[in-house]
Amino acid sequence: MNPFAIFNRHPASELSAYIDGQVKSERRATIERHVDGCASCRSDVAELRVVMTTMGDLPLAAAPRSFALTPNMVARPVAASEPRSMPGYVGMRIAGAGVAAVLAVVVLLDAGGVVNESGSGDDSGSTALNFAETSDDAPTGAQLDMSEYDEFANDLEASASPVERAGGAEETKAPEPTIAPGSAPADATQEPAAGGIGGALDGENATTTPDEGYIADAPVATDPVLPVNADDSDAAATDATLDNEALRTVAAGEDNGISTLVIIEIALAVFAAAAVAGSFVLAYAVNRGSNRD
Amino acid sequence: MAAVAQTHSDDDLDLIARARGGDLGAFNVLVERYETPVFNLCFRMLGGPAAEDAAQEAFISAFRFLERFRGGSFRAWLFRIAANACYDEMRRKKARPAVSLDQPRGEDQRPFDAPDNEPTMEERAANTELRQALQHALDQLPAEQRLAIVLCDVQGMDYAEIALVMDVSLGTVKSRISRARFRMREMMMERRELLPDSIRQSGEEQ
Repeated sequence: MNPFAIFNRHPASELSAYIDGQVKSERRATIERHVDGCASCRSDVAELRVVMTTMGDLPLAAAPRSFALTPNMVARPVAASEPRSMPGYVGMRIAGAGVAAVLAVVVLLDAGGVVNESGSGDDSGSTALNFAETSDDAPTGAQLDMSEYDEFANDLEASASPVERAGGAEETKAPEPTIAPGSAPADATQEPAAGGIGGALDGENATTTPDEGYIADAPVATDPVLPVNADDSDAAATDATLDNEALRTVAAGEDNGISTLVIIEIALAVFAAAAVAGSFVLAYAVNRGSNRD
Repeated sequence: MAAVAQTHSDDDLDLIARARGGDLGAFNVLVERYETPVFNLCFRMLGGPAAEDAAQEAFISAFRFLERFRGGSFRAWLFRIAANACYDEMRRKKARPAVSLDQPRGEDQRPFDAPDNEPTMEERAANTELRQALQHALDQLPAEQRLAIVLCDVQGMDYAEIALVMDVSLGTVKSRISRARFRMREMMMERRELLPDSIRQSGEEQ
């Protein structure tokens, strides 16, 4: 019995490396002395050896089959990894591009309407300009409407975020200057138009929002159901101006000039909504499909 | 088997060079050379049929990333890829436990072509039971300890090469092997009756 063994901590954590000869020589001698005089460590060493022997005696399993690579195996992962991530982006890009293109057309038509109508006479000025006039008459009402629009637009913009990620929103915001030459009320036509992207995502609101963008001068437009009737331009004009006396005459005067534009815009908006919804569904389906692999 | 793999190392480099040039045939010579140790590593790590997938995945990855092999021990490099394939497989198993629950543990065991010299019926039965108990004990270890003890005691690698495979320091290798062996000891001592007489005696005599 080694008298020093009592004073040494059991080198348990080193015994494994000690057995493998992986301990430096000075330390090795110390451990050796300890083990010699310590029954507990001696039994540890013996049992660790049993583990090593038993594990070492485990027979090697023959490979159950050949793992030789075929040209297919080598080609597959490279080819598979690209389409796996692509369809989602492609879907989003198509959606973004589609929305941007349609909105660009809408905005151009709007701008065209502004130019044509403002050139045609005093009374038949652009709707944006008319709104500017009426807001002078009823500043309080206009202010209220603005805040409602803001809320609405914010809500829609929140839901529009997926499109923003696709880069669609940036493009749609770009044409702003063409419509709104500075006047604050004219901006009101902007926001619902921008919100229109978000609305298009929902599908239900989709058909209504572009109208709101167009007839933003009508405070009623905050009710998203009304403009759906705009096919009947008379009804739309009446509805839109119900709450605002000052607007009624203006809107009535605009009827003939606006109606075709409104219809075209509704059609485009429906198309945009369908395109966006479709491509999202497609992108979703493709993603799910690729995740399953 | 360790010795066999090492004697090939010069020849390995030649094959690797050719495989890098796109010679799949040259690479498949390497596959043939290493498939048994690689499969066994995966088998001990995963303890089931997933080992086959992991081994195949390892060779595919090795071929694809052959450019990244910077000399040294090809076996260590290949084992590292195989170990990663096993970790991937474990994560997959954890994510979809229902798949692995379909098969009861005992039946996961592949029949070994054991190089036993005509064992008696009893010996064979005892061996099978011991192997299953060992694999079960291995399965209980944390993955990095399992990898360490399998590389050391089953594959017969030295500490330095294990450090390469696991990409850790020599000290970490030592402590992982040590912990794994102590845990395996506990579990084996509970099933002491399964150990062959010769081993049991050697454990008890000191």
